[in-house]
Amino acid sequence: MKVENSLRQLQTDYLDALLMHWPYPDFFQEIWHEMEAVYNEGLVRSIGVCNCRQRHFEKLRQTCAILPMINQFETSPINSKPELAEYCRQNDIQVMIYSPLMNLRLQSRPQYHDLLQHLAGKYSKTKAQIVLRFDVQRGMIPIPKSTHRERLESNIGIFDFTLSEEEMRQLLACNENRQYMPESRSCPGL
Amino acid sequence: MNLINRALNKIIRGTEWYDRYWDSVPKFWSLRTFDIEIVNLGSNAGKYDFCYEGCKLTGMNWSTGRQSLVHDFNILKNYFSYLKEGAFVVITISPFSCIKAKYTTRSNLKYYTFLHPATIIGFDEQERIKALTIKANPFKAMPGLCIKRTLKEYARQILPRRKPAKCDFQKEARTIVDNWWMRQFGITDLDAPLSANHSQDQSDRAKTLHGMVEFCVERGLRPVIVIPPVHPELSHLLSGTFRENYIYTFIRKAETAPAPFIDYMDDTRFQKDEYFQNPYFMNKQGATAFTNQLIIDLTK
Repeated sequence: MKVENSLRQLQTDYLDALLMHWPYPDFFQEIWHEMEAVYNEGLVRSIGVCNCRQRHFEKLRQTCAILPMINQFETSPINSKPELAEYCRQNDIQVMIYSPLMNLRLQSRPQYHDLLQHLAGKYSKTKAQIVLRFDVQRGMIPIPKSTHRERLESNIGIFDFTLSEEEMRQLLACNENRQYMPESRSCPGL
Repeated sequence: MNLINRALNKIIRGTEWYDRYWDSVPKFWSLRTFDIEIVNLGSNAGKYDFCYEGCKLTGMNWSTGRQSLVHDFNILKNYFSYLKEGAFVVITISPFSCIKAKYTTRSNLKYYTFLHPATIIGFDEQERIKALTIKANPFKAMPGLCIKRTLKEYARQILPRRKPAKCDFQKEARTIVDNWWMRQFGITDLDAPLSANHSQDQSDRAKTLHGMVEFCVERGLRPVIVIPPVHPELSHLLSGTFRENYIYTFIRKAETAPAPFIDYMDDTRFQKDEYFQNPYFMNKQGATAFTNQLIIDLTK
C-alpha cells in the first residue's frame, strides 16, 4: 500500500483517516488486513471502510484484529438506514456521510421538501443546513463538498441552532430508502 | 452534438425497434425506482412471462431477452441496491437453463450499457466503446439502420394492420423443440440421459444457481425458483424423463433449500390459447394473469 506516497504528496507524516473505498467482494478482507498493518505502523490515526453493511463487519470480525473505526456511506432523511446506523453506534464505528446534500436533488415526496422548507423558515437557515444539522444531531459526520466560499460558510453555519426531538423524528419519518448513488452499481455484489 | 442530431436521437430512443435493438435494457439506463418488492430474472421466458402492471407489489422485469443464469446473477449483483429488504427475487428456470448456450458478440453488446465492466463476460474494451458510442448517439453511430427502422415503425403505425395469423400451437411447439432447442443444444433424444458435456454444464450452472440463492439470502432478499407456464401443446412434448433429467436433477444439484421452487409448467389455470403468443411465451394478458397469481402464491 502506498500510504507513504500520500504522506509525501500531502507533506505530512501521518493521516487522520484511511478508508477503503469499496468492500470489493473478493478482496475486502485482504485489503483490510493491509490497512491494519498500516495502522499498526502508526502512519494513520484511524482506519475505516465505506459502503459497508452489517454483514461486512461481521465477516471482518471473524478474521481481523481491529474493527473499522469509520464507516462512510450515503444517508439522509430520505435514506436513513436506521439499522446500519444503530449497528455502527453499538460498535463504536463513527459514521461519515458522503454526498450528504445530493438527496435535495432527488425527486422525493413533497412532504419532505415541505418539511425542510418549514424548518428552514423557522430557523432562518437553508434546506441544506437543516439536512446537515440533522446529520450532526444523529451523531454523524457529513462531508459536503463545495468550492464556493459562501456555500462553505453555509455548510459550517449549522452549530447555532438545534432541531427538536420531534423535528428529528419528523425528518426520520421521511425515509423512503432513496439514494443518489445505489452502491451495487459501483461495486457489484458488495 | 447539434440540435437536429439531438432531436433525431430523441425520436429514435422513443421507438419500439430501438428498445428491441437493446433487448429492453434501456429500462436500466434511467432506473430511479427504489424499494422494488419483486423482480424476475430469466431469459426470454422471463422477459415475456412476467408483467407487473396493476400488481399489488412494486415489480420490475429484469430479464433482457436472451441471457444465461450467469448473466442473471450479474444483473442481480449490479442492481440489488434498488430492492427493498425482503424483496422477492424470482429466478426463472427454463427447460434448458442448465445447459450453456453460445453467446455472440452482438448478443453481449447490451451488457456494456448497463453492467459494471467487472461483471461483463468476455469483456472487450473495443466492444464497450462501440456499445457506449451507439447508446450516446444512435443516429450518428448507425444512421442507415435508424432511418430505415424508424420509418418502417411509423409506416406500420399509419398503415392499416393486418390481423395476425392464428398461432398453430401444435406445429409451433414441434418447431420450438426440434428447431430451437434440440438443434441449438445438439440433442438428438430428449429422453436420453445428459451427455458428458451437458452433465458438466449442469453441474456448473447448479453452482451458479446455488450462488444466486446464497447471495439473496445473505442480503435479506427472498429468492424463489419458478418455472413459468407453457402452452399444453409444448408441455406434452416435455416428458417426465426429460423434466427429471434436465430440470429437477438440476435444481436438486443446486441445493436451493431456502428458496421455494414453484413449477407452473402444467398449471391448468394458464393453459388457455389467449394467454400465449406462441407455445413457449405468454402474451401480455397471460403474463399479467400469471404474475398476479405468482404474487398471490408468494404472499399468502
